[in-house]
Amino acid sequence: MRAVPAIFILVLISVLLTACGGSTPSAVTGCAPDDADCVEVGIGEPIYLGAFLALDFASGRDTLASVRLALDYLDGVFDQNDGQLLGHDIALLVEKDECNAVSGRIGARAMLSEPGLLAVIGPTCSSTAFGSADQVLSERDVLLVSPSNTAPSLTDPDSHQRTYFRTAFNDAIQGSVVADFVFSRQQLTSAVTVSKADDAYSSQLAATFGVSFTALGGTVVRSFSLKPGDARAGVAQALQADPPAAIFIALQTPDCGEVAAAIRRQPSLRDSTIVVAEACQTEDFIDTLGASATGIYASGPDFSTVQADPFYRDWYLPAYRQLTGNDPDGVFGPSAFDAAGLVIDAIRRTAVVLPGGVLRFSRAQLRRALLDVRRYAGLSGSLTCLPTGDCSEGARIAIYRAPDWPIVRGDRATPVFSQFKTLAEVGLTN
Amino acid sequence: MSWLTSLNGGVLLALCVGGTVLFALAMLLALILVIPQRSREGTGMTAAAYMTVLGSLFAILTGFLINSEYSTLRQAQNIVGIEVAGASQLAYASASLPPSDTSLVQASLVRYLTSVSAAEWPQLEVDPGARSRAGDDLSSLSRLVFSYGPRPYAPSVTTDAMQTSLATVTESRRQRLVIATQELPLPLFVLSVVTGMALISGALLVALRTGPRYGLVAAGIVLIVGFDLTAILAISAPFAGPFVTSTEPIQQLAQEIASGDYLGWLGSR
Repeated sequence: MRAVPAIFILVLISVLLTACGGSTPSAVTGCAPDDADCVEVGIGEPIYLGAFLALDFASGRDTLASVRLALDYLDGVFDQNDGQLLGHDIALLVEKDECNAVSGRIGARAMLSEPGLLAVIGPTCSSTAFGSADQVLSERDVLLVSPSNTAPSLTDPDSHQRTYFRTAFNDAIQGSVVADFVFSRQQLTSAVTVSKADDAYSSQLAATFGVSFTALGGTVVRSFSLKPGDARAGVAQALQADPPAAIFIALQTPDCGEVAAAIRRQPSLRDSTIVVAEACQTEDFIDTLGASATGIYASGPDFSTVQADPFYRDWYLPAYRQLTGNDPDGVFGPSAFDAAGLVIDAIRRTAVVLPGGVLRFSRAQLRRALLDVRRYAGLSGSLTCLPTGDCSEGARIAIYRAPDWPIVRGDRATPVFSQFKTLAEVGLTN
Repeated sequence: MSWLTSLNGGVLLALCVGGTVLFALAMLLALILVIPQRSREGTGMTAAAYMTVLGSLFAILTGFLINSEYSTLRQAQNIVGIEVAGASQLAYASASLPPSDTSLVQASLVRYLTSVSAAEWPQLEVDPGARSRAGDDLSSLSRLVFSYGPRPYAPSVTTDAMQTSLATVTESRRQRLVIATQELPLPLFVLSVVTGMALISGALLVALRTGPRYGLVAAGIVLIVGFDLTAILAISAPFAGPFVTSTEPIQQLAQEIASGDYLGWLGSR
């Protein structure tokens, strides 16, 4: 009978404890709504994203189509209808990038007129971002993820803006691979570079090529820095007396097409090897040069890797064709799809969903979410976002020989040279 | 019966113990009035002879019910564990898809798990048979998962694993819903109550015969009957009342998936 009181007490305690229990975990509400860092998306309101792209250029249109595909794919199908993100529509604010610092500031400020703007995909041109859009957006902690900026200074620790990221490769890698191709593969020891003054992309690409080429043992005999009023044929005229072995044209269309066409017209420069960069891998370039484009080399992302990806080949590409009516007209489409993917992923991971479906975001957490990305198996390759903003830790850069360019031959384009390099290998990270 | 089993612990305790005490007091009064002093010796001895049988019967009945209902509660907890394991496997399997698909499947899974803990659980307490938002979310998740089967870029090993783990989730949910609709076997419970009342009556008759010194034993029996009945009712509904199956594993998994723990590209954090 002594056990009886013990049983009473046990039953009594357990029942009373359960009666008093049943507490639920306190609701997570995230950041305070009146905090400047905090963005709240109300019921029925869209999530605002920006696209800051050079729509006058093929690469801008190409990347915009890829961003639209990423939004279309939010519901898991490419049906030309945008899916929803966390139960909210996405409102894509599109601003035109005119590839200069002024348009960078104007475009960034225009997009900031929407206070709920979380992130911007773009810009297309490095000169739009550098010291311009990247600064304006960083001041407001808005993420800027570029699919096509390649200028090294954008992710240089001394000049990097904290909310700036890019999925495109760093031109330190492209410049190094082109130098390897010219010096080691083509065994040419002298080269001329052509770039555009006051253009972050062009001048820095030419400079990185020069540094790598010189380090290999080559000599950059002359560097042209074209100003807006300079005649594009001037380069060819200046070189005709003393033709260089190689000419690296680090310009964008239409400038590079005009310069290359002028060089091709000079009989004394017929034997000079011409290499252009990825910004010239456009149909405009081929159209401008016609048959004389044959034999011109172009550097850019190695598409054989991208095309081997079954998602790209069997799912993305048909959807792209359905959306635009043609094949990709640029090389940064996969990077743009990845840029949008990273932003969407960061939004999903950091959203605090309040009762009824209201969303709350901390801009600082969004940035940290991007910095958490390690080996994201994107369409453009493996992405790891570094504090300096580079998400493409390495890149396989290929050299294609016209007319066998991806832009002309599509899947059948075969590179004559391809090399994978990491940022560490070109001395940018440990 | 479900209204009774869904009452909270304090109310159940008050109801059962208070009920048995009131019954005992009423019975004691009735016995004092009905049974004359001279007959108490005989009735007390007769009641004492039956006390062992009644006590055993009460113990067997309540023991069976408590064991049976506790097994159901454990089974419900196990099923939740299996459902969570299936969901976890689905999240892992989806990590082999392209990142945009991984992210999508895991977001859909989080939506389902959140609906289960936030919407379906409270509904299981009130109306287990009603259609819940979790059902719709599971349908969306199923459509999404099965849509990867024919896609050429999705490895068949991955899609098979996703479909298998989804089947585990679906099956577990269905079992959970079936358990939620089950009720305490009323005839057995009524029999326990009747036996308990007989036991109390017997104890009171014995106490009347032997005097107030033995009243404490009778009071103990009254309390034991009250506590036993409380225990049966308390554990009898796994999704209602004081002892409920915890949603903690579901909430924890949803939180883990939402924060990216199952994304391959955050693995080295």
